[in-house]
Amino acid sequence: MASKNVELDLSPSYDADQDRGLPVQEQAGLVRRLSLWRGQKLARKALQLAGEPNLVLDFPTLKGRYWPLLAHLPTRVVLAADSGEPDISQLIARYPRSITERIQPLAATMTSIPLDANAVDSIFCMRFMQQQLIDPAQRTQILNEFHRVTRDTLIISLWVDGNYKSWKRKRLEARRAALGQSRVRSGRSVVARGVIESEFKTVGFNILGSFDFLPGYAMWRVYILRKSH
Amino acid sequence: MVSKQPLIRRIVIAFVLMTVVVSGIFSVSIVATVHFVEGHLVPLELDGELDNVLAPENQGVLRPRLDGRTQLYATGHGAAFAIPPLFANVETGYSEVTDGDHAYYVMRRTVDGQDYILVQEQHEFEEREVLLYKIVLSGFVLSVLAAWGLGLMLARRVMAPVIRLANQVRHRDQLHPLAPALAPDYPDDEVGRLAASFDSTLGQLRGTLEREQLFTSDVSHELRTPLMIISTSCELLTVSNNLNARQHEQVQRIRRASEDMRDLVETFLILARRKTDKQVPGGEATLASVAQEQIQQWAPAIEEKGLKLSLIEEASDDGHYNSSFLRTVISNLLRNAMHYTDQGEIRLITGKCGFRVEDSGIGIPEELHESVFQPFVRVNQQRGEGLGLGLSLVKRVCAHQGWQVSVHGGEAGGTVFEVKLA
Repeated sequence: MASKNVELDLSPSYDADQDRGLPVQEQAGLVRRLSLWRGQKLARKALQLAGEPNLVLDFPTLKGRYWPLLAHLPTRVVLAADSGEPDISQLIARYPRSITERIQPLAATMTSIPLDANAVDSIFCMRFMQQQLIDPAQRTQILNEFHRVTRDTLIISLWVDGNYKSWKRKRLEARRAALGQSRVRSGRSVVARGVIESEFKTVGFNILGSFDFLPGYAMWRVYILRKSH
Repeated sequence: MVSKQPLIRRIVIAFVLMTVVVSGIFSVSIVATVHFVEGHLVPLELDGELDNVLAPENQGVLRPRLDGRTQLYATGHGAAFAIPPLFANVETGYSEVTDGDHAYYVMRRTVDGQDYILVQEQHEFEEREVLLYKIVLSGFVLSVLAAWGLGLMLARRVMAPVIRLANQVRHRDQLHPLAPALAPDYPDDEVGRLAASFDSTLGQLRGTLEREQLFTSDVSHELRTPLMIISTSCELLTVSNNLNARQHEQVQRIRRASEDMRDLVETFLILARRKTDKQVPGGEATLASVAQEQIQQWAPAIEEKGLKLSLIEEASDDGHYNSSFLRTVISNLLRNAMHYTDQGEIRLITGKCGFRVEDSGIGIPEELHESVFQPFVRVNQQRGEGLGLGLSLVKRVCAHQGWQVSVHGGEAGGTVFEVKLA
């Protein structure tokens, strides 16, 4: 997966800046810092709504951005899914021991997690899932696997429609299509709210709540789901 | 009666009920006070005013100084004070008179044979009364609403740790062993103590399970060698020429029994290993080869019982499966079919990604279809030997391998066990 595909919408080059070795403080403009702050806040609220799970299976973002937040609760153990990208051992080396001592790598992909049913309290997937979620069959497969492995909740972040950004995007695509040009950023997809929510229900999740990055404007939404029993 | 309402709702209901009672009592007492005041103060006031009117210094001349809502009527003081017919028949003293929409307080007194009637309109008083009632009612409703809101907020806050704990303990036995204990998350209060005892109970349970697993594994392991010795000794005995026919037959029975036992021990050993440990001995084999091998193994015993055993290949399957597990599953299903069939035939039918074992036996009642896979459950206690562990073993092996086993009645009676090798 190319790194730009998992970028935060409002901070398109944040990770790339870090890769060039530039200090975050110098690079990070106000908007970027705000967006980072907002992202952390969303994740914190989501974890709170999910009842502060103890054993979390995390599908880390490319920089393991949410690890400090996850490790914030001293009684939490995090299983970091390691599918080869990002390289978990390198990521672990970036963070202080106080954070990474409770993070255990686990070789897993979204469609195949080598854990028994109900093995973790919560699955935390703030990784943007546009690419994986284009194909509804694969989407269902991923959600089914998540449903099997989580005991209680699932925190999942994705792009949904019904906001200004998605409307603008749709308009741009329509315009490009009319001009006969190729589609923009064809690797990313926006899922219709109704569709994804009904899929959650079909798989067996109840929607506990959802938080928008910027309500009415941004596409990024975090869903907190609880397994229905 | 035990209430079945959720705790939060019970707290809210208690809050609201308490407020309804308290503010209800207050409201009712306010209304009662107003009535009391009306009944006692108004006559006093009217009496006082009439005293003023009839004061000796007025010397019999009526010069009432009354407000706009009070009227004086009297006999013997001319037409200006003539008593209207409405008040002509009121009794002496205080009374209330209504006339359509209007209501009046009336005070009648007779002095020196003359009647004096002081009449006060109730209109203004009633307006104030209605206003007061409205305030009391809205106060009542508001306080009930406030109690509901406050109760809900408080109940949520108080119940939050309990709800969190309740969510955390559900299916906790299946949680990964890395999961941290619950108790450190909670303060040392009732909920914390509950979490701690849950932790310790689950810990004990896990310990027991682990010991049982270790025990099974150790015992199975230790039993292998003596079983092997029995088996080889039987073989040595068989090839020696010192046995007569009867002894030879008995040695053969010992050998068969020890082989059965070795198979069983092998399966227990595999199941006792950690579930994640996929490195199990036995290698891989195709369904067709294992089926063929099992048919050969079971044919003598089944045919000895007067039954027909056949292998039917409906479709070919080129998948490779763990041979030990597949052998255990087929073997147990065939043994089960043999135990519960007295006449007719047993068929092993292989197909694409699965197989069926059909028999013409006594069948299994539908209500037992689920429980038949539980350990120690036997359809007919009087039949066959064994503890009823065979099918539970099949189920456990299938669960271990991600296969699916189901049971249903055959079209012509009997039972069909179907295994899908996913």
